[in-house]
Amino acid sequence: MMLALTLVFFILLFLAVPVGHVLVIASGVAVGISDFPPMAVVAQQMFAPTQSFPMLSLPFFILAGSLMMSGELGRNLISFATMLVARYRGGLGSVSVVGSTVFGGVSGSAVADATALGSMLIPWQQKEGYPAGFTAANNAASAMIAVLIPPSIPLILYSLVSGESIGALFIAGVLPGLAITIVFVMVCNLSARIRNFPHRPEPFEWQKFNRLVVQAAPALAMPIMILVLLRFGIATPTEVAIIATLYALAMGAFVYRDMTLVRFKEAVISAGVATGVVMLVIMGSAIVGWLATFTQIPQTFASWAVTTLEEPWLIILAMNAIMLIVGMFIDLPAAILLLGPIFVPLAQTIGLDTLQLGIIMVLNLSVGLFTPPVGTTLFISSTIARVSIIRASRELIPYYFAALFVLALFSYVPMLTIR
Amino acid sequence: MGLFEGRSTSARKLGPEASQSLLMRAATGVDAVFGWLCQALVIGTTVILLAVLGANVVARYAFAQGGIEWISEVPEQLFPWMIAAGIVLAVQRGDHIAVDLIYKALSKRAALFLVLAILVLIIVAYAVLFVITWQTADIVSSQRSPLLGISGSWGYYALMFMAAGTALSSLTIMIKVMVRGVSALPAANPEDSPI
Repeated sequence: MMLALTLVFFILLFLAVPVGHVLVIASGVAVGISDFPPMAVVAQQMFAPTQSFPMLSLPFFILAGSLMMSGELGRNLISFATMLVARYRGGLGSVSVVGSTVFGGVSGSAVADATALGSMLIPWQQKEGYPAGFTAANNAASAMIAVLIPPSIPLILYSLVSGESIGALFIAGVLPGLAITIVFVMVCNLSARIRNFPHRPEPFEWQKFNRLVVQAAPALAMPIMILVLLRFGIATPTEVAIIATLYALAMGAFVYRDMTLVRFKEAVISAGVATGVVMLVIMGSAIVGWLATFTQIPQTFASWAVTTLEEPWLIILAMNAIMLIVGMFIDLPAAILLLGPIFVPLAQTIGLDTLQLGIIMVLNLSVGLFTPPVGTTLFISSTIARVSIIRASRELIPYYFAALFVLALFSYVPMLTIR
Repeated sequence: MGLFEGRSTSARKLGPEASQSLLMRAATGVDAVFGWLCQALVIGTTVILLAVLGANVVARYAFAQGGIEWISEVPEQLFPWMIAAGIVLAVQRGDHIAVDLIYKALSKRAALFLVLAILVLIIVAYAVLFVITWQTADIVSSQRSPLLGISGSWGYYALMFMAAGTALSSLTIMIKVMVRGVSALPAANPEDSPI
């Protein structure tokens, strides 16, 4: 049954069938050709995630981000990031990195960040004399920060498969997000020094900075509000998502005064579609997960890995290698939902904290967002910068090293995963 | 390149432009109706859930109450419909993520046949899912939610709506692709991406 599932899965995946449909069809075929379980299992397992109250946080975190980003706030955040870092060496490149960090705290979407920031910053950076390939690579890589800084959709998905609390995962996600920000800013700085990128140091104006802080404050406050509400158990993740949405609505209506019914309607529909995309993957993965548990795949894999590789550090290395390869071909939500149920029991067997595993998984798989052949942010950024994927990929090499360095730190230094 | 494009005169006699135009109009009409219905469902469920859950948060924290009891059942009944409508809209907009490496390497004609084969597969798979879900909905119809007393079938009807919507929307895309070629495939919008 699992062999049929695997075969159908990979054949359909590479024939360009959308991942959500692949999961539904492959598991349907696997159940269909077996005497047991009955086909009703497919409907029951697909239905189960729709009854999960924590999953309801997904559409509302997406909606909160969508409402915040579709208004004037986006421009304020870019001005804020520009004021912070643009005057340093490689500063224009660093604006994308810092911009992704502050945008990520609002939107939680790497693809949205790559699109929104890229369309505004890439033409500006190129006009100032930055190489097109570098601007694409920088934008593509920086977008990964958005999936680490809370609110993070991949971390919510990991909580679904691991049972770890969403609040704990959000808090643990902050440090790797900031670590990636620092190493990517260093890449920009070093590249600028070595390749002599144009540099226009402008004097720092406190008055202007203070004004920008006030304008950006409502957005900067959102991730902090989410973390405080979750960290101190004041509200459940779904309630926090609702509060964040109401907060975004209030900011648009009363502070920025750019909230219209049309904007609200568009944001709601966009969030509904994004929810549909991710929920179909969750529903399809639920059947696959049930079948994997039914056939005891996770336990078998865990005992095989422990007896073959023996050393925990080697097992962590192997898990990272598998995730890097999988992340190159399968998109982030599906990869978490498929690998999570297999890796969580393995982590428990070798004594690896499942919270740390969550951070490793999201860090690792988010590198797949900007690796060829199917890196989503790489495609978006290359298109905006009008450069080939190959040229952008060459410029990405230092970013891969920097991201892998942070990944190694969080893989082997447990104390970096803050509870 | 459409499947009906570049055919011989005899083939054109079999598939006259009038019937193509009728097919296209029917496909566009079905898309419009489903699109409108799904948008209404997404907006309706989101607004109700936002209002109801927002009220519950206020009741729980502002008035130091334990929350409104029946409200806990509302998401269970509405969330499946929000998801179902979102999935169908994503099909219509081409937002479901796919690995298109091989597809991009194919010639136009081969790509056209691959797309049609995929769409047929999706239509058949979701038609089967519709029937399976219908049977499951029948089985759970006697179960009632504890507070609102709503039948257990209600949520499964959302799954049936999703299956029917996905199959129908794939069929309308197939018709458009057959007439106009792969360029008729809907292109994904980055703003609709969850990641």
